[in-house]
Amino acid sequence: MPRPSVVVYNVDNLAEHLGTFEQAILLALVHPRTALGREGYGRAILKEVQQRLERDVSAGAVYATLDRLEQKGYISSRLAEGSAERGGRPKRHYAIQPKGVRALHEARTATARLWAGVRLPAKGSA
Amino acid sequence: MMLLEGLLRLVLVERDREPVSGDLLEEYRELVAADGAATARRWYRRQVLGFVSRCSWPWGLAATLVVVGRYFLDDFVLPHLFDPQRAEIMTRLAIDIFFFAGAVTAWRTQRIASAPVVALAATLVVAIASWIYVAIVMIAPVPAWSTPADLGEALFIPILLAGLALAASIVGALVGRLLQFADRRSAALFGIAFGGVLGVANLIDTYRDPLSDDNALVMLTMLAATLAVVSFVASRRYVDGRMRDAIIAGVVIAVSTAVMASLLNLVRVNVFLHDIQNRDDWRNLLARYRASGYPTLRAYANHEYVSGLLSPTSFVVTAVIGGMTGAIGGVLRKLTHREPLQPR
Repeated sequence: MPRPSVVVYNVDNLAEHLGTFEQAILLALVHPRTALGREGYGRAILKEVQQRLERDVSAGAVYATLDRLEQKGYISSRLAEGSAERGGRPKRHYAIQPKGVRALHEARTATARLWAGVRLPAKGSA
Repeated sequence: MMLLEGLLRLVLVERDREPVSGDLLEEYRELVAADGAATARRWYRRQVLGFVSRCSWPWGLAATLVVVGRYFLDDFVLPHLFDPQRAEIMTRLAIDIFFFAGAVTAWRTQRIASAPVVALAATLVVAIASWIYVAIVMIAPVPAWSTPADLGEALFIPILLAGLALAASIVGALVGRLLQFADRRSAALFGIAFGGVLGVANLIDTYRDPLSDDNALVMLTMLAATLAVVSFVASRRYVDGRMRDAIIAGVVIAVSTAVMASLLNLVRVNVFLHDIQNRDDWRNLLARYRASGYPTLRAYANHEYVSGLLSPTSFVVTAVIGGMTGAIGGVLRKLTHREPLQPR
């Protein structure tokens, strides 16, 4: 009797995969599309994420995600002086860390693996 | 605008207060120039309310489960059995939820004034859920709602709850701020403050009902909550992967908490001796007193409580439990924070 093949699920990797919103934030740091985006502070990331996701995004969601990503070690932050248009309040600049880049690679690979060989019917023709 | 900004700064944690409020101000000013003041104000208001709701919804959800859960039980599950105790259980749970909401919020934001904001926003969640429930039951009436008093109660409880939420959250905020202040200084000071809070709660409880025996479920819940707090605070000492720091912090917090709580327990025994000697759970102590030859019950009770406080065995047991709790906190911290933690 043939032995059944064993499928191994790497639970840790599955749990580590980034959500769409987290990917959008990390991509905004890796590859900003605007001059403002290249500054890499909270408001710049908010605008970049809105542009990438093509929808309105709440600032609270962006800061909560930035905080989570920093706790996981995917990004780091530093404070810098603020300008007059922000009442002199400091800016927190974010930078992606090697672990964040790895997580993005893994997320892309996982998505590519998921879609490998899949051909969907044209939109609306289901 | 100033009010909204004040609200925003209240609910932001210390670390984010300046940079985040600066980001929003910068975007607001750009929106004023691009789309006009009204649009900018609407955007700013939406963002601030988003921050407030992020802090409030878990507490609102918990309070909603208590309030609407009670309506549901009354109407559909235990209409008669549950009735005599329902108000007391619901009120106590609601007070606990808003107390913890205040304590946690004040700890996070280091502002006492943020607690009532979060408590009122959470009450709003309860009110909306409560009124939706009432609307549903009115569409599909059940016999319980044929009494106008029941309907009125369900409609007005959320309004009454707002006062309760404010009071409980402010008391919770004072406690949270005190504990956070002590935590910033040392593990021992945190333990003394935490033991003080537990001791004062015990004093208030005895003042309210001196003859009520210790309830096993309540005691276990208190012990679990105490261990969770010790574990959480010890885990914050787990810096740069040094598990030893978390274990030592656990030991120090547990011992100092136990000493302070025991001292206040001694105060409680002396203040309420006349009443609590009639409690069922004092029968054994009274029997030992009669056999002891001590001149007064007060002298014997003090001897027993002080002996317990100074007993090396109780110190060792407390220290071991504290160390284990600190280690658990350290492991949990290691699992949830993948990178080495920065010193606080």
